[in-house]
Formats: sequence, structure tokens, C-alpha cells
Amino acid sequence: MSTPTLRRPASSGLLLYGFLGCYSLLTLAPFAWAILTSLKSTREIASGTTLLPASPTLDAYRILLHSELDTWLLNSFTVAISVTVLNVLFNTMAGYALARYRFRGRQLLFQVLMLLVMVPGQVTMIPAFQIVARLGLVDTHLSLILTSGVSITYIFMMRQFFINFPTEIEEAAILDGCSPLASFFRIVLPMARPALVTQAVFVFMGVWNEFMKPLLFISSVDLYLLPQGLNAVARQFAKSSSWNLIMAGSLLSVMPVLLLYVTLNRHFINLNDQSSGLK
Amino acid sequence: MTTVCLRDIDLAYNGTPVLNDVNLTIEAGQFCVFIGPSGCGKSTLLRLIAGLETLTRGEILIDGVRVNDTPPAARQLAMVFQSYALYPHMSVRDNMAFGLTRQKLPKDVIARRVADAARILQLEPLLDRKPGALSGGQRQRAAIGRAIVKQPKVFLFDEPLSNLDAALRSQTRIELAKLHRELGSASMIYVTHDQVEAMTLADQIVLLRPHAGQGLPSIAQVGRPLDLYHHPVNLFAAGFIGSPRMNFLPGHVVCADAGAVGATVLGQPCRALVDGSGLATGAAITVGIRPEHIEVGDGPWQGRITHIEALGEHGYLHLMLGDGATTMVAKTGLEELRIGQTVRLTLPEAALHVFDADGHAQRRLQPRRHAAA
Repeated sequence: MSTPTLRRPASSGLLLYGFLGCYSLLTLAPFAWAILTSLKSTREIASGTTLLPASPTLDAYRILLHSELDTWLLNSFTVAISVTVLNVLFNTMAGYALARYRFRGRQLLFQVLMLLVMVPGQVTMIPAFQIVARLGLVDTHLSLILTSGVSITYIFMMRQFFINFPTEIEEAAILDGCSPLASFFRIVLPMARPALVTQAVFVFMGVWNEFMKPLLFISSVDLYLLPQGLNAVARQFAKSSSWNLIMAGSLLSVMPVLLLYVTLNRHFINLNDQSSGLK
Repeated sequence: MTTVCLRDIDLAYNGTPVLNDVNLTIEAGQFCVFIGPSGCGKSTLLRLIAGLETLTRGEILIDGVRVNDTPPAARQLAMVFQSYALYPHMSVRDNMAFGLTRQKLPKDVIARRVADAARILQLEPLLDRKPGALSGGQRQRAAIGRAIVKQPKVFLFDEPLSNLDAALRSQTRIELAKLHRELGSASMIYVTHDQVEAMTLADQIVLLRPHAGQGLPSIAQVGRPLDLYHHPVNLFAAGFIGSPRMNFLPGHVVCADAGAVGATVLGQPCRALVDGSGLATGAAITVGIRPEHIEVGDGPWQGRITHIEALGEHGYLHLMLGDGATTMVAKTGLEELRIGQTVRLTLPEAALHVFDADGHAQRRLQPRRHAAA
């Protein structure tokens, strides 16, 4: 199919582009402000007179890089990837079981899960801390990983995905001699890649950006996750309007997630992969 | 060479009967077609044989061995699904090899079988493509290839041609018939709702009827294609087999013996060459005649043309007879006929079917060939 030739938009098109342009500016403005602020000195921030940095400087980034940023980055990666793997595995298996298997209490179990979805995470954080404390896991990454290893929201998402999953492909796998587990791992999971990637990205982002739970569970500086660590650095310089540090830290923390999204973007779009083996 | 035997099979979902009292033998090497209207359970019966459904009662025997509790993969069957069910993340080669890999066959054996099947089905240029890059017909051949490589005792086809266009369907039908001859020893069980496929492919047709809950056996008739066409055993079989549908007219017996039945149909006398044993004088009957066997011109019945379907060389006349009865006639040379015109009809005695009050057919005595319209 040839690329359509761009024509001069009519007035309604101009209005639409104008609106989209303004909306884009509004969306990108905070990022632009963050970048510009991260390049300012604390004195410039304190004076608060200019938008653009008079003398752009990378001092904020230098301070952060001389802190334990690399340790905190590694900690965040470790916890986020561990939680993501556990979530993808368990949520997918649970969703598949709820969608495919008929067992006593299935409907009741699903309804209970839907009720639990409505309970905010903040409500369960203290009980979770108490359980972790009794297990002697406070101030360990395991406390974060185990308490975040499953997400009911994504169990529901995977259940809905598998309800619409073509059963004949699984039946073909049965006739090919696959056990239920083999069918799940060799056939179902590869075909569920768009849903798995979506789940992985959102779980990863959720863990990466989480602040409250690590603040509650982790107290050792060398075990801090990135948001905690950046917060600690910012508080260290709190008296000197350290917005440049906060903005630099925020931008650094966003980079890995942005990279992840850009890398996996095509898998979001490939939603019809599961139908290409069918009529 | 494999025989499949179904004995006393019932299947119900949550108490709702789907299949009732199915008894059937599919002989070795036979091409057996399950046909019937939507919801009659033909795909369900196929899936029962495959082991993808659990029967409520009865037994399935393959080569005399009871397989009710045998896992699907161990029944030595191969199935081509209605939707092809190819694994979209695997190439055609890997799709075909997957089942053999699960059986832990040597790699050279797998490679040889895949190559042989690809050659038979002309899939060689497509082996490294994924299903998403194939056309409908190519996917269908890949699905058949996946079945062939298993060298099964029985092939199961669940409406494999239903989504192909007419030309491709016609061509693929011929290829399937050739495949059956080539493969020789394997039986094929084929589900379709298309009568042309059934009539042209089958060695044996199994006609299933819906409404298993009404106590009737699910199988209405089993036989060779032309047997079902010329000698339907009940009203359902007579009305389903043949396109367009057989015309049914109410009548009463005037006289009946083993050689013929004389009857009154829409006030006119007629004679049918059927065995009238068991029919009492005055008994209510249904007389059937196929549209292609009614003669237009002279005759005691009159019909007013209500609709004309011209299909080219031939077409169909829709007629209103006396007492509000309607009938359809297949005819050539429709150009001179007009809607509203009255025509006279003859119902040749050799073309008539007679059904008693319970819908059972009286045995026809006439040889199969008779005058067409």
C-alpha cells in the first residue's frame, strides 16, 4: 500500500492539530521543566527568576553519581525484575486456571479476588509488615519481593485474556501429546506474549516507582531502592533548594523504564498474533 | 487398516442431551462423512472419537480396543480442526514436526516425514513461513500436513473447507479425495454441513438429526450417498438430503400392496411404486417428490407460479397448489413462464416417496433412474 500524500488540512484539521499541539505541550511541559531544572544550580533555583538555566551545569548529576546511585539502581533492578518474573508467572497461571479449568469453588474464588482488588494497597501494608517481621525478613529485598509477588489485578487481566483464547489450538496440542503443563508453556505462553509483555511492563513500572513500601520495609542505606535513595540525597541537601537534584534523580530513574517501553513497544501492538494460526 | 466402532453412545451437557443412542461402525479405509443441520452433534461426535469430549454412556472401540479412557494422543488419530489451529509462533515445518517431537521420534525420521508430507501437499516453499504469512488454503494444507506426518490410523476432519471460497473449496475437495486414495489404509471421518462435499467425498454418509432430547436416536440414516438420495428411510433424511429440498405433500391411502400404493394427493389420484405393506386404506401419508423429478406440462395437478429463480440454464419455480400447499420444481427453459401463470404438473410414479404417519419411508421399488423434469 503506498503512503498517502499529505494534503493541506481543512480548517477543521487545523483546529484538530492545534488542539493536539497544545495538549502535547501541556504533557511535555513538566518533562521539559524537569530537564531544565536539573541543569540549574541551587542558587539559580533559589532565586526562582528564570525558566532557562543561565549557566547550564551537570552538578546535580555529578552529586548523584558520586552517591550510592549505582547501588540503588542495582537494587531497584533486582527487586523489580524479581517481582516482575514472579508476577508474570503466577498471575498468568492463576488467570489461566480461572479461565480454563472447572473446579469446585471457582466462581466463589473469583468473586473473592474481585472483592480483594478493591482493597487499597496502603490498607494491607501494615499487616504485610507484621508478617514480614515475624518471618525475620524486615530490611531485606525478599520482604519486598514476596509481598509483591502476585497481583490480583493482573490475574483478572490474564483471566479475561484466556477466556477469549482459542481452545482449538490447545486441543491440537493435546492431540500432539502435550500434557497440560507442556501445553501451557510451549503453546499458550508464547501466544500470550502481548499480554505477558503488557503485564511485565506495568508490573515493572509499578515496582520501580514504588516509594511507600520500600520506605517501610527497608532501612539500610545500601539496600535502598532508587526512589528511596534519591529521596535521601534530596533531604541531605534540603536546605539549599535541591530541586535540581530531585529532578536529575527523577530523570535518571525514568530512563530504564522508558528504554524498556521503547524496546517492547512492538509487542503491545502485536495483539492479533494469537489469531494468525486460525482461519 | 482400522475400524472405528461406536456403541450405545449418549452425551449430555448438564443434563441436556446432545447425542442419543449412537451406534455406528466405520470400516477400515473408509471415507465416512458426518452430515446434519447445525446443532445436531456431528462435531461433538467427532470430538468424542478424538477424546476431546467425555461421553455419558457407551463405548468407543478402535480396532476392537476400548478407548474410552485412552488419552487423545494415544488413540493414534489425527485431527484437522475447523479453524486449522496451527501454532502461530511456529513455522509450518515446526507445526508439522511438533507432534512427532513430543513422541520423541529420531530427528531424521521427523525430517523425512515432514519432507514427504510437504511434497504431497506442495508445501515445500512454505515450510519456513509462519501461519500468519499463509493464505487460507495454504494454512489448510499445513493443517492437513500436520495430520499426515503422524501416520494415524484415522483422520478426523472438522469442516475443513467451510471458510474457503467456492473455487478453492471445489479444488480442495478433489485433492482430499486424491489424498484418501493415496493414503489408502487410513480411515477418514469428515464432518460437514455441505451436501456437495458429503455426496462427492463419502463412501458412507452418517446423517445426524438434532433434538436428541426427543428420544430418537441421533443417527437418522447411514448409507452410501446415492442410497440416502434415492432411498431415504424417514422424513428427516428425505428433507435434508438433496438440494433443493424434497417437496412433501399430504395424502391418503386409497389402496396399498407390496407392489404399489394408490393415494389421493391434493384431491388427485396418484400411484407410487413403493412397497405399501402395513399401510391401511384411508391412512394419512406424506408423499415426497424431488423438485427435479416433477414434470411441467400436462398432468392433473395445477399450480400457480409465485416465484421464479432463474440460475442460467435451469432454475426453480415456486408454485402454490390447491389447499395452500407449496412446491418447488426444477426446470430448464424458464423464459416463457411468468409469475401468476398456472401450470399443470405430473408426479411420475417412479419418482414418488411415501412416508407413513410416523415419518418412516415405505421401501421404494423402482430402479434409481427415472425421468427428470
